Amino acid sequence: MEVQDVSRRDLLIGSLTLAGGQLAGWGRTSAAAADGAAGRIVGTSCREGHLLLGGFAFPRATRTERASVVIVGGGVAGLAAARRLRRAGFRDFLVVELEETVGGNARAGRTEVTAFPWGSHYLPLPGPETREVKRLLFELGVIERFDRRGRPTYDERHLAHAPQERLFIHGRWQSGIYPWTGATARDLAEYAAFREAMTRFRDWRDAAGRRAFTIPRAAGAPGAFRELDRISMAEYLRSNGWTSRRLHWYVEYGMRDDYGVGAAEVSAWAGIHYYAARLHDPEYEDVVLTWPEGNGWLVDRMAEPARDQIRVGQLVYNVAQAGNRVAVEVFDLQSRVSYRLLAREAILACPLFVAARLYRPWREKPPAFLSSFHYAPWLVANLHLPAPPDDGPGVPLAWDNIIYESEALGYVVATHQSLRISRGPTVWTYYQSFPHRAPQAVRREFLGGSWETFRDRILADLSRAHPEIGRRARRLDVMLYGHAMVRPEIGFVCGRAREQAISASRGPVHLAHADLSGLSLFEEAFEWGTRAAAQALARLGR
Amino acid sequence: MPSAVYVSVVVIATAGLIYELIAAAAASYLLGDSLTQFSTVIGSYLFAMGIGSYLSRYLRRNLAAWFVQGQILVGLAGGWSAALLFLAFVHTQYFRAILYGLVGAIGVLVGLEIPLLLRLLRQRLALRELVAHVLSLDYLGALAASILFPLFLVPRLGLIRTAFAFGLANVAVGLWSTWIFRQEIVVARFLRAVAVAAMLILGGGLIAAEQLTAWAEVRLYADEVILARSSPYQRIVLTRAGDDVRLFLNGHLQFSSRDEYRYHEALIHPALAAHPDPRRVLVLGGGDGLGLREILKYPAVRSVTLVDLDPEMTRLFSTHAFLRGLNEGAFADRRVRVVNDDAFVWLDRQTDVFDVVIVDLPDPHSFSLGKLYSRSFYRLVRSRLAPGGLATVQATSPLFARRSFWCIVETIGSAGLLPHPYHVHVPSFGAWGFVLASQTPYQPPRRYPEGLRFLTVRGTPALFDFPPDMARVPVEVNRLDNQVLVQYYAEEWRRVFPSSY
Repeated sequence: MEVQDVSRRDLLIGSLTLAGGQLAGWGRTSAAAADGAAGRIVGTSCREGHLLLGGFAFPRATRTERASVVIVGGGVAGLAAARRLRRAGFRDFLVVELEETVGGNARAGRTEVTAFPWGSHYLPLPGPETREVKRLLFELGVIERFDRRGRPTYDERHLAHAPQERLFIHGRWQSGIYPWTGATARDLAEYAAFREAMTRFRDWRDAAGRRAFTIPRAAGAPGAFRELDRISMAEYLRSNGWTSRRLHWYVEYGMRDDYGVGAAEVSAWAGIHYYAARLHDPEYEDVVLTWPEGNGWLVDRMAEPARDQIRVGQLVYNVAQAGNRVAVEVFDLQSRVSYRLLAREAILACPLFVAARLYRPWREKPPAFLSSFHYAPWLVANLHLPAPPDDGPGVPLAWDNIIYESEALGYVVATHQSLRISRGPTVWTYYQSFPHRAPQAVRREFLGGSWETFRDRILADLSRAHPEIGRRARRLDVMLYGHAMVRPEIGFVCGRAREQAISASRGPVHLAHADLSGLSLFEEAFEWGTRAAAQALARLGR
Repeated sequence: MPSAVYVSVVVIATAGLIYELIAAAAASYLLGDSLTQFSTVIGSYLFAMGIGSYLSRYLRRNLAAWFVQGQILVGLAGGWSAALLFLAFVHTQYFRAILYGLVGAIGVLVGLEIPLLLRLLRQRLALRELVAHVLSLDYLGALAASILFPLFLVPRLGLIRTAFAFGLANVAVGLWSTWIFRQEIVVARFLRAVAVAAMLILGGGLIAAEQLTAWAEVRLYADEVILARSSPYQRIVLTRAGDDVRLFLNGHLQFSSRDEYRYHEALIHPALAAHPDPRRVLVLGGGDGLGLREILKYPAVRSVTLVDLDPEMTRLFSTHAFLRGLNEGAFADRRVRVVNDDAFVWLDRQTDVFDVVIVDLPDPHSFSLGKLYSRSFYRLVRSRLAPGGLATVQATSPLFARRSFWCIVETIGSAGLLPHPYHVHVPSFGAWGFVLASQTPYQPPRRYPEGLRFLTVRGTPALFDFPPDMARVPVEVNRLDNQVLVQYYAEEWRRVFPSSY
């Protein structure tokens, strides 16, 4: 204990207000014991992005380049578009990306220890509707072959190795995410009923044989169960008479983890989609695909063949139709000069709140639907540890490790997929979404917050399950996403605004982003990117 | 009244030396090299006593109360010392720090006692008389301890119970002293309560000593430790009882020199002797070189690559005179190349192929080891086999871990190889299983190298026959994403050694 950190005032207030004040004082002290950990806030490039908000005069473009297709944004949608173009034998395109690395929400980092995710860290096994992603997985060797009924066989190295999940509850680690420990018969009955209901949604088909909840959404039965978009997931649970605190925590966790929104705000349609869209494979059960760097593994491999056509550190600040061309004006963050790309087709593979700032017609007269797109902030941190701390009481370290009733989402272990026996240095990726706070307030905190504040908060959370973590962490880097993903709120997921956005692509300008699905999923982004590229190719007569 | 004090002196002196002997004996037992352990423990103990004697000058008032408290503390620390040391060895990596910390603490407390006693009795006896009596009794106690310890205490009570018994004796002296020095002690009633509580704690330990001992012994070794090393990967311990030398890695028996030939002949020859021209051989694991010894009996073998994670293992077995004798200097053979790396990762990087691959890895008792028994791993092995190549996998006991064994068989089959399970009896292990994997139907060898002590051509087909108690059971394939083998293995061995899992 470093007593000098507890000020006299803390001690006085602590003694007056009893436990509360004292605990706060000690909490600060123990987190401050993390003197050994270095680190910083590593992104995102919000300062550069905010140049688009106005008040900055971009220098005039000094040169003009030509490319048949320009893709704005090197995230999953942009890279999927690039892949689609290359598959058609088409090379005359450029991808321009603001950040220093491509990948968007799936980007990754790497040190001498291991690669690790800076965003999404897994992909569920693709169901029957997820055709294009399956093709990608086959190209990359993740799927080894398809049997006669078209069912894939996976290279098990890419499946999350056992043990996959554990939960810290009542001072012990249990296996799995549902809090079995201490559950009553009533809790378990409600959980079973919930699973059963999700199975019914999963297996439901319309007259044409289409399921209601599919990935991509576009493959599903149109309009099915859209009334569920009018209530929240929490209301859906209550309307079934399910009140178990454990079930509500379990569902709440799923919503925070996938959507960054709490069960009280998320559309029940989106909530059910999370459980019902994934087909249960009897061979693989509920296993997912993962890599040390998370989905960074996928985007790196998508980007690699197109590396000559990708430019990073490029801020696009204007997209406008010029005759039968599209002019894309770009500010190079390194050389601080602007240039113009003249394209025949442009794919805006960026979130709609960004597209609204780039695309001149929208800048001049913002369409009404834009105001319905709200975004959830996220925090991702990577902790370097010289060796993993002891497993703690209960089951051993898993891939995904969650602390019951924590504000955050737990951590995944980047070296879990390693085939080495020895437990050497490792990296833990820590995730947090902010479901119960106004996104604007969180963003303000992101802009003003110091690294030390985030570090202390993260270490204090983890120390509930790993008391020694503050002394163990060598490095702790933090990534702050002010607008990580679109929020699948009540009324939005099946609402008109989203449909209007889908049909807003005009002539040579194509929108391609998971925003259009209302669900921030790799597969949705991939689908929109692929589709936009196909449309561009069709218009080019290819 | 002096005679009561004299009895106390004998008890204190005996207990003091007993704790010292317990610490030294436990350290020798656990770390090996008894000469070093006894020297360093005795030395640091005496030094700590010196510190205690010196510190006694700072105690000015309430000498009797201090004396009683000292007795209670010595009793608690000394009483629990043996149990603590065993626990520390099994559960922490800081055994030495705890050992010397404990020895130092007990030494300081014991060192305080005699000066305090002398000062307490100063008013009642002439100094000449006092020093003569107390010191002679102190040495007498030491003699008693040194005779009782090896002849009676260790054989009859064992280390853990001996420690508790003397801890109780120390506290009893403290309790008794509250009456002896009742004029000097103000808080006698309080001290008595503390002493009774301490006796209850020690008594509880004494009653539980049976369980503690049994529990520690399963994890420890029955015989004398002749060598103990800690590498970053494991704890290597070599024990000897007569001509039987045994190797333990992290407490798991790897071989006994009496019968290891059965294991290693069975591991190597059914594959090597059946291969028409085994030029290139790969061994994964097997850092003791005993399998190598068997492989090098084939003149056809041109090169053997041995991949063992732990450089300390291969170094020990290529330099230590006795161990080199066991593997007949296999590591010195020009054909042998040693690689210290993770088997899976190393194999994944290879492009060479091998005629025979021997997989002699530790049993799947953790999720990281379980990966080395997965379908993925065996597919990798298959991809590194030359046409006509054979592989043999050590596959734990088909008798004690029947589902584990058949899971390995099933998994090898699922990786596209033909599994041929067989088993042998290795007395120190019991029934032990192997799986030979081939790409084409396998025929047992028609001849073996000269001088084998266990395998015969006529006896070999019988090894492939499984009696009903080891016969195939339905199991799942061990994949990286399910690791069923680790679960089977833990369940099955938990049944064999209930306390060790």
